[in-house]
Amino acid sequence: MSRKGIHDQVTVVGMGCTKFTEHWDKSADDLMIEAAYEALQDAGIELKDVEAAWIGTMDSGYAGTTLSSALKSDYIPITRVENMCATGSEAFRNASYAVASGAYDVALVVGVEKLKDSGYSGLVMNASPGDGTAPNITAPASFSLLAPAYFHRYGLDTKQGKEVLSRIAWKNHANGALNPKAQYQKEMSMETIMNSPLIAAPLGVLDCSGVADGAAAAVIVRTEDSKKYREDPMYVKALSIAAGPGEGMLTQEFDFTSIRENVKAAEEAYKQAGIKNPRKEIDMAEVHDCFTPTELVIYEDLGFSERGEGWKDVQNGRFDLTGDLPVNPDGGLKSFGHPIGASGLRMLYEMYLQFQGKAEKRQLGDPKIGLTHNLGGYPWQCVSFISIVGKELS
Amino acid sequence: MKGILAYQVYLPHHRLAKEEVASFHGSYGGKGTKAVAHYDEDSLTMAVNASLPFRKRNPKAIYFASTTSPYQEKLSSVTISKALQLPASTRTIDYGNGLRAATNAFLSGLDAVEEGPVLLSMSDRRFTKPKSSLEDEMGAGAVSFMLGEGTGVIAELIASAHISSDTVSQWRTSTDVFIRQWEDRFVAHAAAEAVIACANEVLSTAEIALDEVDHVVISGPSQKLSINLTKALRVDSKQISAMKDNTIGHLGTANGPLMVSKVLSESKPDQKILWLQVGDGCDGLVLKTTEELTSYQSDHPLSYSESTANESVSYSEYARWYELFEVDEGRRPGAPTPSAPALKRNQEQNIGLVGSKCESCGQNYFPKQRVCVKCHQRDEMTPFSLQGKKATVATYTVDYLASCVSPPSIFAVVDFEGGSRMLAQVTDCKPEDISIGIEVEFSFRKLYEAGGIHNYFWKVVPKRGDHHES
Repeated sequence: MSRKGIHDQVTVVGMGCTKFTEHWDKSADDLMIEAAYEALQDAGIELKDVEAAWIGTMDSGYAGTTLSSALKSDYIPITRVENMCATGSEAFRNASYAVASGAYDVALVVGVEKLKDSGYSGLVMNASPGDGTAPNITAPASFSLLAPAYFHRYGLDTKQGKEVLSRIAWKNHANGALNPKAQYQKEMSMETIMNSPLIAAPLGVLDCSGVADGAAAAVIVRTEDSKKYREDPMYVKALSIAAGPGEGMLTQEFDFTSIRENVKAAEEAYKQAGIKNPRKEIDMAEVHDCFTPTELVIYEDLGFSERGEGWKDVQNGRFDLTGDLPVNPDGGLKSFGHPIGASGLRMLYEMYLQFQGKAEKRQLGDPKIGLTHNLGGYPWQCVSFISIVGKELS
Repeated sequence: MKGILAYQVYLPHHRLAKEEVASFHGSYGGKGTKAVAHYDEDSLTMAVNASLPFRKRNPKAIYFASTTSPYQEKLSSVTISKALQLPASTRTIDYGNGLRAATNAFLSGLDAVEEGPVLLSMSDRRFTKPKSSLEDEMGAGAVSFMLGEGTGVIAELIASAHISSDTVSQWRTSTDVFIRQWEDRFVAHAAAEAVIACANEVLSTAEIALDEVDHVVISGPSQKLSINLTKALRVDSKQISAMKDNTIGHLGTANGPLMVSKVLSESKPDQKILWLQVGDGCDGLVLKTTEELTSYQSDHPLSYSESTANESVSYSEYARWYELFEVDEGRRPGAPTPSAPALKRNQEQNIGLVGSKCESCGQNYFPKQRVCVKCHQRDEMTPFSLQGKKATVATYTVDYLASCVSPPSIFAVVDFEGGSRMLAQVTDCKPEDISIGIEVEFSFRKLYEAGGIHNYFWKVVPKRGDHHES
């Protein structure tokens, strides 16, 4: 664990986010330019004011020149960051610490992914050369390993379990329907979700996040400078990331009803932010609902629900927009779509809008503390990121 | 005394009905089925699976016989040797280019047993052109023999003879996929000529008459012609009980050995077997069972077993598995070419199924590790084999999206006796056959071919019988 967290040292003073969708007529450059300029304008600054930048993308470009080439920035330091599906969050974390250190006063973070030019369905990653014996398992299948294990441990039959998972997708679709930037702005009935074509049993296509193109961006400054830019910045209270050694697929203790990296990242983030009871103290969360069983175990890993109780909280609506702890108010990866490098920043974007009262139809009462959770990898081995952000200095 | 010490048959899990083949082509078919290889099986994988029980018998040589080796140039016997974790000094020899590869390898193997036991594996997955007369009877399977000398012999070689005949009857060019065959009646005529001459020769060497033979095994160019040859030779129908199977089909080089194995599983000591192997002539062998056979049979009830193998498949499944037509690969990437250096670095692990054990805390791993995830000791690992370890499913998934010739792909998190765990592909399994807690066992399979490289590895299958090492 870190000795010293980020607690309130930096703030976000500008954000931008493109619509997430199949952008057939836009390139990765187009998306980066749109998100970056929206964030710069929102912060009331120009590109020349940016002293350093981070670009997060899993596969839509290599090196910092991915961003400098699009923006034509003037020889400032730019670092390209990759941490699988947590790439956008990782870019944000690196920029935050650079600003906190005093090395730079103003940093720009951009996350982008252009998935739909590949011609493939679903997510495809470039593997390093190897012996080629790793199982050819897809992302939905690797996360669906959680489902039978969870059902088995807590005594849910397949139908009950499927209902719980569908209820999560139902909620995220309902939230996304209220979001003009979401990929899928459409409510889905429980029946439609439960009967959607199987992708990785028991998961159907509607248990899976949307495959989309998109970009999101943030401008970060130190807290003491933030009022120069705006009255209502978003305060960064905790940033944690845990990279697992992979014991989940090496030893038999791991039972696939939890993701250890989530638990470790949450412990660290709560410590940095001084949170004792996440179920009560967190007002809203954006979590990595890549597939519905992931969101279910996240509730328990992050302490939003007791172990074995997450499925009941799903059924009683605790995480709905109108519930005690709304999760994925913007529709989540499920409905907003999942352009890998952009997703972590998109989650922060929703926090930012909610704090500023700009979330329109999905605006929550008056949230003060929000959490974003972003995961890259597999249930048995991943990087898990958590941020805690707030409306006020604490 | 030289001869067979042990035998093991490996048959694929799936059967294709002759009626199904005929119905696909719009005609009427006969009764019976043939064994078909799953999409991830070839001659080499089946040979490994048939040879696994002999891992601990320390063969000094591996002989592999097949007309359908996965490579034109690259030895399969070497991979079998590696899969059995045998030392690199083990002799490795491949035989091919015709059905008599089986008897050639058998006799050469017996010539070599003075230096130690020889493991001989005969395996074929034969390809026939759709609608050809051979299509509904050319099967797939493997038989392995341990050959040796001395007291352990269960069937002793009494005599052998050879007749060669340079006849164009059944053949393939170096680039042909499908077997070519001349008109049936000519093929039957040429084969009969060789079989009769060879039988006379070998019986005279053995100094016995045909009616003194207890079991006759004739492996001809096809099942139908093999039966015709018994008539040409005027064999009594009670001598050919092992030839009457109608479920497995013709197994190529493994065809004669399959029938010999059946005889060995059913016969008594001191019985004589005449094995006539056709192919550019004929090889004839007379074997005599020994007193050892009785105890071998009771100790190894599954050396010859068809029990696990009876799932029927449609012609369309068969056609996909045998790549009889080109299918769209879908909007997913194909398998990348495996890296040759990486294959070499990991061959003990991937082909031998050897992981590692932490000598500091006792935790086992597959794949092998350098640093222990439990006690964090570095380089305290020793090799640890997973072969034969009890394995159960911790959780699983049925993947409909993964690119696969036989979808859906099933993957399971498998926990092994001894504490290790791996994510394994489950094969020969339907979605309804998988659940948490079931026992599975390893089967050697081909993952895919890319860049001209067949990538072999282990998958798991639901445990269906009580296989044990012998």
